[in-house]
Amino acid sequence: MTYVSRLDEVMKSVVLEVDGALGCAVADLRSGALLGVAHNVPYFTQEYLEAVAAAAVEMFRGQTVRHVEDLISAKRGRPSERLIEEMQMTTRHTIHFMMVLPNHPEAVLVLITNRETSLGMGWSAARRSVLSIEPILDGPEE
Amino acid sequence: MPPSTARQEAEAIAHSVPAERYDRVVRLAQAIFGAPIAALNLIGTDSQWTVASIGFPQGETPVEDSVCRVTVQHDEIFEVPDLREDDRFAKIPAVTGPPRARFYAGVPVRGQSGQNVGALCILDLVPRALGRQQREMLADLGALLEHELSVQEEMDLAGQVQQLMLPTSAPDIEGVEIAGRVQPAREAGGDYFDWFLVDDPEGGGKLLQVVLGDVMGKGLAAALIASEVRAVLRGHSRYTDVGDAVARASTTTRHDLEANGRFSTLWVGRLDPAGGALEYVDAGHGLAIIASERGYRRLAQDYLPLGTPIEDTWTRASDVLAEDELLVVVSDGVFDVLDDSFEQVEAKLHSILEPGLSCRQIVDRIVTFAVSHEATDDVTAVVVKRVADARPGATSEDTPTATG
Amino acid sequence: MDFEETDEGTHVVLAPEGKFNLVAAPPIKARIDDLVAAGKDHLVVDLHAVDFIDSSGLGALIGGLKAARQQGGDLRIAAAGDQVRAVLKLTNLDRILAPYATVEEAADGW
Repeated sequence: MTYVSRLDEVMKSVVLEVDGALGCAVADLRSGALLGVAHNVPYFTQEYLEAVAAAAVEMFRGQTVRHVEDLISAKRGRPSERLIEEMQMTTRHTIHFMMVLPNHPEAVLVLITNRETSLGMGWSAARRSVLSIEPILDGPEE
Repeated sequence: MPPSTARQEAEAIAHSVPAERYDRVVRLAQAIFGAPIAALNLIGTDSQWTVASIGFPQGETPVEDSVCRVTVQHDEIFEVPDLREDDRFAKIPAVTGPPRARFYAGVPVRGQSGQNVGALCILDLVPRALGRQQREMLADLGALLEHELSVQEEMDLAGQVQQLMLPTSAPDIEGVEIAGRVQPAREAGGDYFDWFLVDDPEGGGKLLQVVLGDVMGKGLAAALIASEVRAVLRGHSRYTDVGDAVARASTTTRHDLEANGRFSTLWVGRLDPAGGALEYVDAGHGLAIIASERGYRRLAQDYLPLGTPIEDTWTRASDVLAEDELLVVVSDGVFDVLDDSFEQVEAKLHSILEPGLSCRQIVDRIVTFAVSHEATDDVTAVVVKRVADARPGATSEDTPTATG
Repeated sequence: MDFEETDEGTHVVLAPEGKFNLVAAPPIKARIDDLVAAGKDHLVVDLHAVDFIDSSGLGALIGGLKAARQQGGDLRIAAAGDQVRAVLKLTNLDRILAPYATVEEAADGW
């Protein structure tokens, strides 16, 4: 299996596991590229998914956000660091669970569910998926 | 871990039938803490047993690689903000390899004995700490789990008590081989069998009394009533004929059966192994047969079970168990499985009652047959055979295989 | 288990459905007890939709019968299927719970 399709498989298993899940993706925070994706919603077109990935990048790495992180780092007398690890966003119809992968800070996981999903279960599944995603990002393709 | 009663208790729990109720608490822990990994681990002497978990494989790991082994040495929550920074755990497989856990929090869980048998724990992949409220919630989940464990242990113990009360050793009388087995649907149940010697009230010597009882319902409540019926019948059987014994048992147990809204069927037989004379009373049971190559006959009567609004007058019937015949008594858990008329039951039993098998083997076949057909009720079978063997009281275990 | 209840004036008809077992028996028994306590002690249990009965179901019927008779009434069963009749016959409980063919026959005289 290629690297991309292995990530797609992991994304699919997360969508299947989480009650109320609509879609799941891993994106590259440097380029905004989608590394792996799975969803069960017809209107999640490629254009839409790429826009969501770009929005996630903006949220974690946008200029104003970086500026705040720089200010905090400076106040602490430390070199500039990326501090944001996880974000949860609730919209009218969805919840987004977004997290930077702990051992791959260049990648962000986005899990999108409907509003009926348990927050704890969503986070538990998102954090657990890291166990399957990181080895794929670690190693060379088979 | 030093061997101890707590470690043995943990191993006993780990090997008993696992319950979904443990899975439920683990799922709650997962949702409450958003934890990628949650588990219930039991700590034995050499191994940790993961009996319920999400994100961690179930089964056995060496106890020295476990974090919960330290948790059981405390009486409160044990938390490790970063396992990599703790010399005790930095090198264990779960930290150096998958799942590369960093954070651990576990609450010790006590068994029935009051000693810590294991821990409910959560793990995270990043360093973390629990606040006071979260620690309270983890402690609450631990208490819930303790309750589940103690209920299960109590039931297992009740089941053991019940099994130990069944006769296993051969009755001290010549010329008969007997075997019996109960497979309750739950840990304990309303089915029981019994055998013991009584003096022939007509002065003829010793007789073998064989009983199969079936109390309505399942589980511990039915088991308690079964215990009473068994004891009462034993008591009354010593002094009178089998019909009168059942009648007296009915009178004595009437109040308790009615108060509990339960009835109990009974089949009671008295055999003289010397000539095969058999007296019996069938109180609503109907599932006793005498079988041989020549055919089958049912040993049934029209009497009601004990505990119904009508007090019957149980009068014994007579038959003779020939030397080539088997007396087979089963509970309706076997009958239910067959879902057929009694005639078809007999046909199916024919395939089970092969000549040359010992009573033990036949009993095991009947029970296995019922269980493999997904019997949902308690399943019981008793088989009696006359043997020409001159030694007193052969059970199948003693019978030399040459005759098998 | 669901059961239908019809008050016919002189008697009440209960019609359980499905498996009359360990789970279904207690609510039915409880309903019978309530009816008897309220003075409705002539009862017919219509078993046409019951495909399976076990000892707990029998216990509920026997218990209900006893409660009804204690108040001077009675409980009768009707339209029992093959499995129910087989179990009643095996336990000889058909002696006290005679299976009537129809609800009308069971309620005859009430």
